[in-house]
Amino acid sequence: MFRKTLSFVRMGAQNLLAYKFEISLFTIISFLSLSIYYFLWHTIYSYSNTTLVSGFTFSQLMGYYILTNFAGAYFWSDMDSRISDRIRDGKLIVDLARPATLLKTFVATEIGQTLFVLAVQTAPIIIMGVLLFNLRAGSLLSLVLSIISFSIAILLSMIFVFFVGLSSFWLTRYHGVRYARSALTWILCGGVFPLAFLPQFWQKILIILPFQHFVYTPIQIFLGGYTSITALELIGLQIMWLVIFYGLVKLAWPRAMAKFSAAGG
Amino acid sequence: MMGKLARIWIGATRLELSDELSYRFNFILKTITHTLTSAIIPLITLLVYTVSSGIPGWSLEEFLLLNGSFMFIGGLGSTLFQSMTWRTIDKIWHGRYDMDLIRPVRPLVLATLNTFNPDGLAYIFVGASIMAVSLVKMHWVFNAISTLSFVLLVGLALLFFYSIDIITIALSFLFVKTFALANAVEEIINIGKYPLSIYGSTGMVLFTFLFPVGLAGFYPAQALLGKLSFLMIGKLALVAFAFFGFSLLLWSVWMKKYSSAGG
Repeated sequence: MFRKTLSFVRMGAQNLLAYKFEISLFTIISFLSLSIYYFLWHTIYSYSNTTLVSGFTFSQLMGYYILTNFAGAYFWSDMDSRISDRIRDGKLIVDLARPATLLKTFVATEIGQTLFVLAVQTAPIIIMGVLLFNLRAGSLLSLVLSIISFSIAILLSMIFVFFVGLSSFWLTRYHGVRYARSALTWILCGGVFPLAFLPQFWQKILIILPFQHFVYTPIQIFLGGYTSITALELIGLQIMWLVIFYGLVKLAWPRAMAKFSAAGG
Repeated sequence: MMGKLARIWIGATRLELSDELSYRFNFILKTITHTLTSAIIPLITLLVYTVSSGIPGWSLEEFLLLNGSFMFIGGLGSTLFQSMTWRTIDKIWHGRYDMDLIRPVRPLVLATLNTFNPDGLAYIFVGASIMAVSLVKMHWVFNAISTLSFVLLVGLALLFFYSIDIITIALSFLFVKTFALANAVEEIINIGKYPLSIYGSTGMVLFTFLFPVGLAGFYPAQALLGKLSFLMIGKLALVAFAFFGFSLLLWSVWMKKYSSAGG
């Protein structure tokens, strides 16, 4: 069974091999985006004559943005669009005939793609972070805990995307949901700015929601922003959300299948 | 001739709107999301000015005006012509561009007329609202010269955006699948979201005279604030028109490379 799943992971990575030009261009885009943040925040830190902004030094803030780039490799998934496209062109029936569940095949393929992107597209940016901004884990324990947290975040993000993607069984056109899912979630998970910048009231609201566990939690654990106990509690919360979304997928799946006609359209 | 072009534009726009409105839930959700996500830019500005002293030479209200101008102009570009990039690259990629070449209208004109995109309307609305609020907060007094300068610079910014789109499409005649390049262009435009002074004197010259991305928000905001001389506006007009000419040249040269094979 594991070998079957692994073959989907391999297939996901191989699919991306055909897009070498795009992937290298995305690395350049990431450099460009980081450069804009660099100039902006360098000016702000210099002008404010301070070393700390909302608890972040300039290097830590740049480290944060570099790691959001890393998180982007798994966050910007188009798995839900693929589900929608395959429903529309009637090809989903082929996926359903495979000897593994749709969730497993799609998530495994997505993991393969993510690993490829992390290795090829994100690695140069991380190296740049290490060399230019002294990007380091808060401690060895932070590093270990952040690896665990990032691994759960990858799965959590994917299962969330799959869950939202199931709505395409009910919708004729899915683009709006996809755009809302990706754009709003990216803001709520700390992809645009560290959530520590927000007033306490909003931080308390966001901690109830699952989104910050996709990106903000693992990054902050890596940077040493939490004590070990808090980090472990947050990892526990990530696992809880993973179980909740898995349960929701299981709950929605039979209803989606009842809706599916395989006719396309 | 103009009447014919207007008829094509009206027909294409009507078709696009009826297509969007036939999926009402999708349209409403997209519009709400565009409105919410565009509101994130001023939110970031507010956060930046709350946790720090902000950007030298720019008060919170002035910076918000820059945000608003950037969004307003971006929204106009997006609504009026920017989707021509994605649509044309998609046609070239699938080898369907020949259909456009055999029509009795120049291909570039046809691509421009067929690209009304209602997604940008939310940005126009939010951008204009932010500009209005920041001008009121600054106790801005109406000034015909500043307002006219602003309108002129919006026109130049749109010309610059249009030129970039032409270059991106022209590149797809060479490399076929250039969607990632279109993404890169969007990121490059973000340079103009902030005051050019943050990029230092070299950046200021580069993003004014060589690649005038400062037109995307910085210079129009300065015009409205009355900080831009006529001489500077003249220089910016020259640069924008030169850039447009360059893009047309690339289009005509690279279009000859179109092979119709797709990719």
